[in-house]
Amino acid sequence: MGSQANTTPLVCADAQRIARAWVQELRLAADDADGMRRHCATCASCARRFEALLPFFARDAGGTAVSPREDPSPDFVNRVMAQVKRAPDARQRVRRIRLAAIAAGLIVFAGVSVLMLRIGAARAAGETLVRFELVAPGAKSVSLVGSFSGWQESGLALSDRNGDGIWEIAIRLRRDSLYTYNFLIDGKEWVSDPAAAAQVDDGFGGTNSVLSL
Amino acid sequence: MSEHDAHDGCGPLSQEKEESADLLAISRVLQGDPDAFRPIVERYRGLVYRLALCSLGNREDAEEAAQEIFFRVFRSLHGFRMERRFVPWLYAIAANYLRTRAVRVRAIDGALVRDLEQRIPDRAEDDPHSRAVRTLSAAEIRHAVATLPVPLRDAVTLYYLEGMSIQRAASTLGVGMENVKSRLMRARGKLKTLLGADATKPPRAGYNRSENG
Repeated sequence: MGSQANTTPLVCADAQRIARAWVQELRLAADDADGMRRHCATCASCARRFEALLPFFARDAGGTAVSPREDPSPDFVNRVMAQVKRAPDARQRVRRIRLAAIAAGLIVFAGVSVLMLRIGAARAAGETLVRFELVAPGAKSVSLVGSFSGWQESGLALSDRNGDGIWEIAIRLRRDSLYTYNFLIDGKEWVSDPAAAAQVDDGFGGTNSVLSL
Repeated sequence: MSEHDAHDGCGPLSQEKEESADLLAISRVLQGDPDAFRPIVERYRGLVYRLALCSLGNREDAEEAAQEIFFRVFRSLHGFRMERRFVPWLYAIAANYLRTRAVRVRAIDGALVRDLEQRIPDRAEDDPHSRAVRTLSAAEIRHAVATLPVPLRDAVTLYYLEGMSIQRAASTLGVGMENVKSRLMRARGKLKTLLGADATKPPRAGYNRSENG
């Protein structure tokens, strides 16, 4: 393909052949792309079939993007930055990196009605429901391992239900107790919780996070 | 600057320098300087916005989603491993978020195909001897791309709409170059059906030009 376009106008059979070949091949000869454009300008039938594909032909013939790029509104960057700075925990999260490679958050559940019922039941038994959260977008699995589970490495599996990289689990723990724990990422990378109230030496050169309820 | 200039290696920043600039900015953010996040937003706002636009179908949702994606990226930076490249990580977060959000906000596929057919004007009104080849608007192309299955759509967005090389699109998507080529081939087949007039469809009234093949 491509040798005839500059000298001999395409006929419909050429256009159909080029379009078929285009589906199969990543590259299209520049002459063919130009020939298709000129042919569509004179042939209603082929224009109807191929005109809308001309930008794609041109791209595959070595052109740039198929259409003018649409950009967000001019104040988009400022709005993002305002949100970043407004976030109550954003700067805290940034500071946490000084303490660990991957930050983890620990918060107590509240607000959702079903959870409140659970919390109520747990409170009756002297327990409280605690939610552990770890932001780890690249992780395949995350486990919570601690004194409350005998430090079994199988741990308690966190879930990333919506695939946004935020792993979480909620467990009941006894009140008036002190716990130590860490996260285990992909079964091999131990991460302490920099959001914990305290860290203690684990005796192996690392730290364990401390939770006091 | 335009991120696309950088993608093609002919802009103010080559890909390597762009990656170095990303890592430097991330380091500064992680050292407690949230303003250092601004160049990252400026560099990739177009990419993220257009991925959102092709996924969600309208500017308002796309801007909101793009803003949320950047906020999530900021919140997750402490989980970024500096030995990795930033753009694939950014894409993974964006794709995960958009996949979740798209389920909620759109019943888009069928509606978009019908919408696209309405947007492409009836060429029968054109003067058969003087009409210029009509180029689809960016919105029309984007609407067509939005109807593709996600894996094909993202490959088309990066290669055809963003103007990335195959190599860079593969790197961004976290797949091999052959995988991208295969996705693009399948996408071209679907686009040919979608954007080219269906051969079985009766000609629009008023088409009176004869084929010249």
